[in-house]
Amino acid sequence: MKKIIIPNNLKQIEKLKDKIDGILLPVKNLSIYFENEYSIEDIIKVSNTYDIEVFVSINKNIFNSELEDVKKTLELINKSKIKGVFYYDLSILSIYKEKDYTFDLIWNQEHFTTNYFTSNYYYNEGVKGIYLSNDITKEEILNIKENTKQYVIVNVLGYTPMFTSRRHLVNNYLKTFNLNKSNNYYLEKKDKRYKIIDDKNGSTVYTDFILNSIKEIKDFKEKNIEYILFNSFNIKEDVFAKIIDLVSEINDNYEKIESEIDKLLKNTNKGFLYNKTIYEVKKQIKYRGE
Amino acid sequence: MYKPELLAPAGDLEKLKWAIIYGADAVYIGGPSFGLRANAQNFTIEDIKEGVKFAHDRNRKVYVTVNIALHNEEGKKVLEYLKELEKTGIDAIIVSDLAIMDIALKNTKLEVHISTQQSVTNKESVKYLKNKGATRIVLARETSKEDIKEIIDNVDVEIETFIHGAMCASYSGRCVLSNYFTNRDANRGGCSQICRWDFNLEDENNNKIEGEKPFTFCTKDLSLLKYIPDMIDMKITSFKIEGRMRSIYYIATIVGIYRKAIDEYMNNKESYKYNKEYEAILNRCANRESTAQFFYGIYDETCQYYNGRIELSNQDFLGVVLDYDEKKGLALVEQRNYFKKGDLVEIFSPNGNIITYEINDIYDEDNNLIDIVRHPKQIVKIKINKTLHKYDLIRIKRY
Repeated sequence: MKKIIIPNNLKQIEKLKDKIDGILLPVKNLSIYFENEYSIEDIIKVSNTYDIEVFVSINKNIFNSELEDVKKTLELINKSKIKGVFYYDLSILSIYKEKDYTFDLIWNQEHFTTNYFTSNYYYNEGVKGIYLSNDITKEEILNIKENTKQYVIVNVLGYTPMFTSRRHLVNNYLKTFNLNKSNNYYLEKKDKRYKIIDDKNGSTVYTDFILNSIKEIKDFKEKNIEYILFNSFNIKEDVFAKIIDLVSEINDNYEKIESEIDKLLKNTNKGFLYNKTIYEVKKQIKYRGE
Repeated sequence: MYKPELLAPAGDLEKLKWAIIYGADAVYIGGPSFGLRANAQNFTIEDIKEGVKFAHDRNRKVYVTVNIALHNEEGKKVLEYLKELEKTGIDAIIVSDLAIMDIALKNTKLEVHISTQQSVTNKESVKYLKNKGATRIVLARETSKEDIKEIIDNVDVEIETFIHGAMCASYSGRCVLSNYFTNRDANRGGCSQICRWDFNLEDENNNKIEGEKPFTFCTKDLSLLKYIPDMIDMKITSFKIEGRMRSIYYIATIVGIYRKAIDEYMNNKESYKYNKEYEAILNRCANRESTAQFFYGIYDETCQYYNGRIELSNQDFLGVVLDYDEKKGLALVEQRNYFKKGDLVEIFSPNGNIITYEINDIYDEDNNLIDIVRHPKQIVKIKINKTLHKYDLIRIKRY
């Protein structure tokens, strides 16, 4: 099982390179959910510098005006050592197939990567990997792994984006009521605080907790899940480095390491790993096939 | 010859009939499973068959939403469900999960439309979906007029866009606030509309950043009545109205107004004039303000709605005409809101006619003269010397 990280910055790669197998980096103007973003040229330099797998993220909704940038970027990626592209928008897959590119595509529609049927659909389309949704249970994760032909990437640590909008929700509010700007914003509800970022791409809201599923790595490993991913978003650089240090020491002591990470981060949670969502509050009409 | 399709929502069989009678060319409905309104009444398979017959008898179409994001457990049941749908004779399914599209196209003769949940915003994605067998793409509500035009000019596939109704504050499919706040799965039909909740906005030091009203994600509704000529000139295939949970009054009013605007422009483009009265009627029916939003590239503060869950409501809708007795000149009416003798009302019909009338004699079911109709669904008879018909609706006249 390989470890991928989203580093706090490019400098951090040097410090952590011996403890990880790969990195995921956001491409400038084409990605969301990251604290920093990098030009594709800089990412290619990284891929030439370090002997680790380099993935890039192109996960924003793409508009017609951005297609040229996407095409140029994918062309450069195809000529580079970059291993794969985490993508959201179907235009990436369309261009990939048309150009017959050879780098890996990783299906990353974060709230749709929830089953093995669709995973296998994309595999048949040439998409080699799936980055699983944080909205599903551990049981579902293991079941997907058992039944998919794609290689599986599971997020085991980090904040989760819950809401993505093209609208500038914070700035719209500040403008409407003539309020002063701040550096960082949070939404508060019932004593819980949710980070909201309003930037050039619109607004994103994150969970109030950091997913910590270090203990579950044991199960993921047993099922031969290929990759686990650690996301540094909104975690201090030194703390994230410490976490990666701890993870590199894992030797069947998952619970101990998870507990130490809990102490470092404080606001951790298991998300939906053991908590299935519901959708029929009161089932009124039963489909007769059920 | 190009003629845009007016596509209306229908939450149940009754609403389907009202939408079609008031001029919808097609309706979209939720079946018993796999739709994004899991807690709505929805249609049974038998309802769908009846709805399809009703629509097809009038040369109209029925589309069924099968637009959840699949989880493993649903994936096992979807083929059986699609085969059941196929037998009903529906005209298409609307899907967001491409595995459902694939299963449908390989195992049934169902036509597949791509839901707005897939948030398709560009011509490359449209091209991909067309090549995979989708016959229609419902574009993301974030697309502008220019985006839509470029897509239509470059890919020969049916394009559907929203023209009226509530908006998601997020990109469709990219919001799981409901999952995290209420455990209800937004992409499987359980959305609990957290975007309409109030929140405190704070800085990094926990200081509140407070306006006169609390922060909310909530946006105004969409209304593109003004831009119907633009949309027709762009040759958009289908104009979609949002709102499967809405009332028959809402559906009849909105469908009726858009039907008129579309027909008036199609019948004579040169002499077409925007009718402000239509706008006023739409506004009266709405419970939030509306704007053109992304269609004209605007998604700034003017599109936000800072009244949280407070929605404007009115009691305009007075009653439904159930029958008319020509000999006695009496309309049989089912009450929907309080009205009384002397009220000036409008009675509007599926053919677009509007009669203005001052309510005079009202009789209860025992033929006693009464002055006030105050009970919900109360059946009364109203004296009127103009012929009315079943499916006519009565609203208070406000202008």
